[in-house]
Amino acid sequence: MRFLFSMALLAFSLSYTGYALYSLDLLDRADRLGPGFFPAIVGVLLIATTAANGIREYRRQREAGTALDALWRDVAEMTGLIALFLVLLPYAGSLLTIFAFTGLYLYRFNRGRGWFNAVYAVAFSAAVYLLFEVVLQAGLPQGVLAPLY
Amino acid sequence: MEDLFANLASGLALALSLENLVFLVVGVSVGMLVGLFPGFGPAAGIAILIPMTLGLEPTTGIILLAGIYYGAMYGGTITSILINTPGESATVASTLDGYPLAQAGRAGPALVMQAVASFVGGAVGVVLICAFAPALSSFAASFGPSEYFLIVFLGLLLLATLMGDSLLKGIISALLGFAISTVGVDVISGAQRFTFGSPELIDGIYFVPVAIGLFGIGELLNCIYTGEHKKPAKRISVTIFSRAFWPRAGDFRISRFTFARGSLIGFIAGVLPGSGATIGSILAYSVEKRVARDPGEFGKGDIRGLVAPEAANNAASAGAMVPLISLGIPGSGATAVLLGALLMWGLQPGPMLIVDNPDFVWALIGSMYLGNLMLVLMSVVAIPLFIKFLDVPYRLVVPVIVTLCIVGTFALHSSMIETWILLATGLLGFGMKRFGYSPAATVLAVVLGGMAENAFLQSLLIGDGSLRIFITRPISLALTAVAAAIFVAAAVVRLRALRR
Repeated sequence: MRFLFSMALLAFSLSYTGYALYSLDLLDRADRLGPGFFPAIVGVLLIATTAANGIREYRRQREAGTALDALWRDVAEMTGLIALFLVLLPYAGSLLTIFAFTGLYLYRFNRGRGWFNAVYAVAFSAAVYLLFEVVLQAGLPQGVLAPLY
Repeated sequence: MEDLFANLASGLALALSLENLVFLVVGVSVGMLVGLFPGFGPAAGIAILIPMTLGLEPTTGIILLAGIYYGAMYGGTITSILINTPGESATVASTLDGYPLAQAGRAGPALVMQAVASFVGGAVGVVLICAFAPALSSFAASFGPSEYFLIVFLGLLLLATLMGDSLLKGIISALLGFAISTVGVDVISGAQRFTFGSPELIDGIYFVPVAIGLFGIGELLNCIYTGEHKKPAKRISVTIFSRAFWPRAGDFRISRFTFARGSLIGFIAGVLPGSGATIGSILAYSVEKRVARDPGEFGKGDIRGLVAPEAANNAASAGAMVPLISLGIPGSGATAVLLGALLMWGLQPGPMLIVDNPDFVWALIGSMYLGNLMLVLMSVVAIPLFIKFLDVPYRLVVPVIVTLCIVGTFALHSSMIETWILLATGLLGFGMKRFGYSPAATVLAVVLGGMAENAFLQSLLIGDGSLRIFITRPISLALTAVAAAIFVAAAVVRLRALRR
């Protein structure tokens, strides 16, 4: 994973620099420094440093091996749950989304305590709704519940 | 000197208004809680609560956020002492003697002494801010673009050198921040950069989702990876009504000079951009061990080994405010988030902040006095109450953190793109934390990227495109020399390590 992460950073650096050089001018029409000048410097330095880092991480991986820890699965599931939160938010609205996210999360990570999890999910989503919508008037998405507001 | 006291008195009067006092109590209490939860540092706490300060007066807002900042230093030590788990990186050094003290049945005296040391460090730090911030502001008024660029560069270089696994990874972290900061309209030419036609990106990527992502979601995913969500709650009870809870006179006698040394070392470490409370506390511990007649006692539960880092990390928190207030340059991830909050409220940190908004600056400094006083009382009297929060298992805190991060980010501009940026930077922050990069350098570069780019381009324009401007002006030359020395020193240390 360490090496993969360093390769992802190198890929980002190449894309960033390529796009900067392709879409932005280094100098403007009056031969002054243009909008692409600073991004080009940052991009070139990024490519140089992430490439050097990638080589170093590759050597390190060859020495240490690539065993994956079981907890990577929990991290992936948590990331999936957060992504689901973001997908649901504009359509289902904040109240239902927070309830669904909390319920699903507790179902997965706090097993065997059904009643507690249900009460926690209801009470927590109601508390967030009261704090952000009623007290702070933050204007959170209403989603399918909009006709009830 | 008279002006100083008059300004401080007016600052204290402002901080003592009912509204400011209420938010100060809220800030320091939240800070203590933030410090209690392992891996959830003050930068994340401040970033998550920034959206809630949008409706507040800037002075009240900064009092709340600064309270979280130094409150976390107090809270982080409680877990360092009781369960050998630092709640905050700046309290790592406190575990070395704090936990052995608790194991020896002296948890009460350790908790009281850490509170007193934190108070002394914080109070000394605030006195030194009063002395240094206005003077540095006057000095910095003569700075040009080249000096500003070099100070930003120096701060990032120090952060890159001291944090993370290696200098290379630190530099990559800072460059990533610069890359993020280039999104949006270029202020000189008006051209759009990396917006991909999205109107939501024209103003650039706002620093708050990035900071919440890197520190909040990133730390959370890291805690899940380390299995915090599977660990049972730690039930601990402490009572203040037992005689054994209170330190002995001998504890104060043996550490009377430690308070002063720790505070001074911490403050200096805090003032240096990029160094901060973590380095300050470790340095103070090392110095204390070195000057002690009986260094063998350190690590076995010596009260001096707890007092030194505690005084240092709180003095460093105050010290880090000096470059923030007087130069507009934060020295750490947490102060970078505070800087972003100042910009959000329309205030321009830098030499003119103290001239244009004296009430704001002095109320902040005044509130730090009051906040430290409150924290020492809370740390002693309310310790049993705060320890109760350790009974809540981490897995039940996770939905609260995730929801606050997402809802708080959305509430800023009602933007879904920013919530996706939050997730993306959260994953980035997790990877950075796991593999030894420095998220603090990234946030610092995001916040200061625009300023650094403008200062760099202006310097080149003034110098007719030549980089010589960075060595021809006296202050620039000194800053360039310091930066070169740091770079060479880091390279020499690395070469020596490779030879071994």
